[in-house]
Amino acid sequence: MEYRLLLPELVLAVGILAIILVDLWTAVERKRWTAFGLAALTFGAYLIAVTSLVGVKEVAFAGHLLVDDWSTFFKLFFGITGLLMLLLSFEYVKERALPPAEFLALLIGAYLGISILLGSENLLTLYIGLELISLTSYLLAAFLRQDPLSTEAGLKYFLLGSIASAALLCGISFLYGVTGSLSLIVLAQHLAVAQGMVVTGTILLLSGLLFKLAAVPFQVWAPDALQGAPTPITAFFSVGAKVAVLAFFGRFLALFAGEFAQEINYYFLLIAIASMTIGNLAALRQTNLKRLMAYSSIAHVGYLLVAFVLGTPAAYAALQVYVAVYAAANLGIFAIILWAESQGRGLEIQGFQGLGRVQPLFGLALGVFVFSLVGIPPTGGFMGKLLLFMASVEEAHYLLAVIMVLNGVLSVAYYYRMLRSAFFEEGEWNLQEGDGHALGAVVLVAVVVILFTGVWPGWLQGLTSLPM
Amino acid sequence: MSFEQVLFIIVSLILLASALGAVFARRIMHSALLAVAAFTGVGGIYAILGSHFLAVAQVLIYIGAVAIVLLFAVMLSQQREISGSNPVRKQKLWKNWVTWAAFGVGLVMVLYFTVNLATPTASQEIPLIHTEPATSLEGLSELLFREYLVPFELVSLLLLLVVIGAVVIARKENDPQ
Repeated sequence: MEYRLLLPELVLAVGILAIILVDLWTAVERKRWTAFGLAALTFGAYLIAVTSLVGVKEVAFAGHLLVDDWSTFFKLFFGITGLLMLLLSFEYVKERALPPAEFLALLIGAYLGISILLGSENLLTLYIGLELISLTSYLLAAFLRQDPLSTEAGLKYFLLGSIASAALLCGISFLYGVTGSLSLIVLAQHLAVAQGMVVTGTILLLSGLLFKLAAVPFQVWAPDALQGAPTPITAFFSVGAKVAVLAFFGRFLALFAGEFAQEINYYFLLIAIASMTIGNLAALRQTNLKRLMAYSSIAHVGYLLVAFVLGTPAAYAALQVYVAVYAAANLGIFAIILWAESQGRGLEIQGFQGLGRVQPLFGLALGVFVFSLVGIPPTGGFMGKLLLFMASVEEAHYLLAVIMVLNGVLSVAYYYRMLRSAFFEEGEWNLQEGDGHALGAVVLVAVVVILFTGVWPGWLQGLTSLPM
Repeated sequence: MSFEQVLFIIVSLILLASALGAVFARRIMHSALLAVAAFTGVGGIYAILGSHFLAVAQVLIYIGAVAIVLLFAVMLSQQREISGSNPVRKQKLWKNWVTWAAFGVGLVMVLYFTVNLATPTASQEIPLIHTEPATSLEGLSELLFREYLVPFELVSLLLLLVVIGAVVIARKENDPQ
């Protein structure tokens, strides 16, 4: 039965509708618990539904849905980050008096888009998945209505994002016009002997996707959007849509072959190097934590794109390990930022001053996350970087490997400032009795994932697989 | 040149002119009306391409419904002097010459690649998939509820979410939930 393959997406859709409907009959003081409970149920059911598809390789619904282990890996990844997102936003929604049901409906809508994007074998489903992610993201970025920064973030993201969507659609229309099909597999046959409009269309399509990734020539929107958005949403932006688009790139580029593929590869190499270098250089001067993380995520996208430049199975496996560890470290850091924010410490880097003294466990965790993002053993970040590094040496991309290492050194400079602030500077803290349990849980999960992967990356590698 | 081509060129020119006019008109009301003209032009292109149902739907929905809502929104929100009310006109556009130059270079490059590389078929070796366009209502519904069922249902969810989000963003500050 085909609908079995669509089960994860159906679960999310039902979850959205249930959250909105149940909210109408819930008393105001119970709204938050009800909505978050339902959302947790939705993500739990989603994870179960995805697990039932492990090992399945099928195309269904006239090519609009594709299930293989590549998409299943990322769907599992997103199910888990979805649960962590709930923990991250649970207290925030109360502090800022945000409407919980609408917030979660939009968030799950973004996850539905991600899930569709991961399983798309068709340019139409790709576009709808991307729009589900983008439109909900614009709205979530502007969700703090009293905050002019948030409105600015939403508006900027919306305007620039629409232009990117227009470029993407234009590319899709070219490709459809020339090939007569929206299927990626048919498209791949044309790309092997690419000529004419196929080239123009592909370049436009890739530009639109690179915009969503915030890779370097298309990165301008990212710092403003990530700074102004509500902090949990910033965390979502730094892992959600980016990783989904990267996963789609994996599928798309795996179909590539021939002369044009090599040319595209060359551009990807340039984009990867530019992203990591410019992201790291720009991060050096940032004092706002969210902006700093925005630039750091641009740099990490650069590393991740390296996997596609190499295109070997080893590189694809490295990408999956890197993504999991990167997401864990990022969500963990954002949990600590959120905690400092809830203690009235602001979002500047000075907000961390004295963190190591007042909350030693969070301070220690921050150390683990920063080490992982830089790539210092025994953290998972080291394993991710090492695997990518070995993959590029195997392919005799020595210069690329050197640039990656130099960039790692460069990134130490700004990550170190977080640690210096937390451990070697004094700050005034008026600790409020509040429950940071939800945030603490995120930190704990992130630390466990990072350290476990750092010691034994085999467990993650056992889960990885190649796109069909 | 066939009759259809002539018609296509005329409709496209009207469409382009009214779309540009909608962006640069001095009064926001004129912008709205020119946008309606652009919608009509799109409907005309559908008709020329043989999608009569789509053309009718375009006229019904965009000109019948969207345009009216657009005009209402303009009339309800504009309480001040209406001349020069288009926010685009307030920006000194010529000052952003770097942007214009970059935009121009990009446009020229796209046009160059398109014209120079454009060949009627992508390649000779691979057969083109040619599907007869569904012009009848039955054909369209067959497509919507069979081949394009998943995207169709997803779009409905997308619209629902966007409406919810828009209400949240536009709601009054102290509104009870």
